[in-house]
Amino acid sequence: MNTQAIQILFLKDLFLSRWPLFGYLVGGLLSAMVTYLPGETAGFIGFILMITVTIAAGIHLIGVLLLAESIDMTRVFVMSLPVSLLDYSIAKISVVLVAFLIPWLAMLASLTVLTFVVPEAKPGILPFLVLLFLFMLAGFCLQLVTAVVTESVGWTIVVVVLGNVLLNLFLKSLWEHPVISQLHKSEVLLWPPIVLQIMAIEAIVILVALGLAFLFQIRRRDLV
Amino acid sequence: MTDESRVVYTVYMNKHSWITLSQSDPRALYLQVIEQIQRRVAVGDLPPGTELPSIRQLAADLSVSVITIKRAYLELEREGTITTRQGKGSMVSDHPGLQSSIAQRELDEHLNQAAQLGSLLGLSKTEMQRRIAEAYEKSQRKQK
Amino acid sequence: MSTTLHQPHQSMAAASLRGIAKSYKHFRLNNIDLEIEPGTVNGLIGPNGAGKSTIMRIMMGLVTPDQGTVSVLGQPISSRDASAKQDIGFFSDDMRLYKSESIAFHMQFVRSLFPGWDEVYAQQLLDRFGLIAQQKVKGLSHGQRVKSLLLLIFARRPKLLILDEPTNGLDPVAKQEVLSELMQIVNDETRTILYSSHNTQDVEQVSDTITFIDRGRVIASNNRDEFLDGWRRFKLQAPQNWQAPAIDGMRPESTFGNLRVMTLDRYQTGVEDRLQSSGATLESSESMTLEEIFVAAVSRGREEKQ
Repeated sequence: MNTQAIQILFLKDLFLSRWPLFGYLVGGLLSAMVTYLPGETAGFIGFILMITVTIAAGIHLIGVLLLAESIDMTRVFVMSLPVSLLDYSIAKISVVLVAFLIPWLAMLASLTVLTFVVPEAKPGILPFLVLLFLFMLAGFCLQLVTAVVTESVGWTIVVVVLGNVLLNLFLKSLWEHPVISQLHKSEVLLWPPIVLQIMAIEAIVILVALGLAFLFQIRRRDLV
Repeated sequence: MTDESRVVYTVYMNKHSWITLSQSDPRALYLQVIEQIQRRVAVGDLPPGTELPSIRQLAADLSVSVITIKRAYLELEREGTITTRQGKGSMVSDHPGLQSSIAQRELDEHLNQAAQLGSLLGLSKTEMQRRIAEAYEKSQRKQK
Repeated sequence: MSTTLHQPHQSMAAASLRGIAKSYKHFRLNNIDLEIEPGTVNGLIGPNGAGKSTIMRIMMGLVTPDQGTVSVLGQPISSRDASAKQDIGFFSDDMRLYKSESIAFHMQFVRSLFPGWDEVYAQQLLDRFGLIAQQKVKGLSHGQRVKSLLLLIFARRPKLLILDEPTNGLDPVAKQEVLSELMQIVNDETRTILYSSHNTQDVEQVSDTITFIDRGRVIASNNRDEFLDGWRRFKLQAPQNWQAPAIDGMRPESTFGNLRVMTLDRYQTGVEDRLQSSGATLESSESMTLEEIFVAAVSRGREEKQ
């Protein structure tokens, strides 16, 4: 494992995706702020915007950093350089994840801050938002592993669409859940067991998806 | 200027200037190389003692394979046109009269061809001699 | 440098493939044995789809063979081990650079991975190839893209160059620029070139050894001049009932009335006499161009397989 090579590859990919990254970061922060503007409509619009930005960021980054490399044969160029498949895989999976986490964390962080800063906001909403964001992260990781395994835009889109459908169902069921639906009224930050359980499931999905993606990538026999 | 016949020049070989190979020429590339080096020696462009480029250098400059140049140099050495010193590379042979001996060989070849053509045309020996004398005088006039 | 016929002092092969096999859905590479001597220019000639690219990718560790061993610059190659690639330059026709970035970006990227990068030479190459460092890759023509990729290879002065159809689709000027730069490498006896093409003319002039590939098999591999000296085409006038004398390596090529055309792959003096004394009239005995040899060798190879 050559840490210098991994670093170089990682930074190269971040550099390549600098414009979308910047765009989604700004878009995400703005959406978070819109969510906390006064009025229910603003909250609703902001909410939709955040989901849109997150999903778009995921697709865009997977497209630019993962799918493009295998479709465009830039991977052949990179692998003709003195980097091992292990170096390449570590750098690639981590940079795609980190690139996504930048706007994702920015949004989650600003939402957290805003929740405590904006007077009308009730902290109880936070666990709900965390569940939502972890769900989107899990969706992203599933898209990632699909892209790595299938190298197909088609299949990745299938997973995106399925993820969207599931997201809507998830939100609906959260909203209908007796405990969770009451959270946003709470003045106190509460972490009921059901929330923790769902978080655990989401975390497992994330780790398994990432692990599978990594394993699949390093065991590739034909890079071309 | 020192005694030119003993000074070893390194001829600066510019690609494509003193030797040109033709892909469309059906003769093998190494034969073209041999012939062109012989010609340069015969007319005095490569005086005796001139250092020739190394095999790899010439191959690189002409964009031909190393084996082509190796073969050409080997043949030229066999003929005595060039000599090779271990570790010092090849140079045009120092032998006096080398220039003229290559030219002599060429003259003989041309004369043989002329003789064959002459007898094919049915020319008599006297007629043949007359024609040769005519050609010689013409070239003498051209040189003046 | 001496003019003797010795190969440079390294006895270790620059690259060696033994018993390589690889199966794809519609194509199979079978039992490939290839040995590349250091300090040589090696031409790999084969029709499209013959397996040249697959062989080269296997040498680079981009494709894992089903069987056999690969060793490059004395090290077994694997996708796990990157160190061998430090001294290898690989070019493939389907390789791509990052469209949105400039040539300069790629130079900087490659330079960061190769301590042996020669920046002075790289700048000279930009000049010689007529490339502008600030230009983005997406604005480059095919020829400029190829030259950029080659610049990225040449500037790090690799010991072994594996080039898969580098002159494909290049205009004559670009081809000349590339070949003359490539041939400068020949000056260094420790450096080796493997260069594939489906076009014999590109390869013929510069190669020391030639290997013919067809349908996943090595058809023939030899010193280039031995190919050119060894193959001959004979045109004979012979009656219908004429029996060709049994000469090793002689095969009929075509017939037209009484005209028989035959090719021989291991010419020796005296063959013409044997043909004459067999009752045929020898019209001509000609050497063959590498392209003709290639076509003849391939068709023999295909016949043998059946």
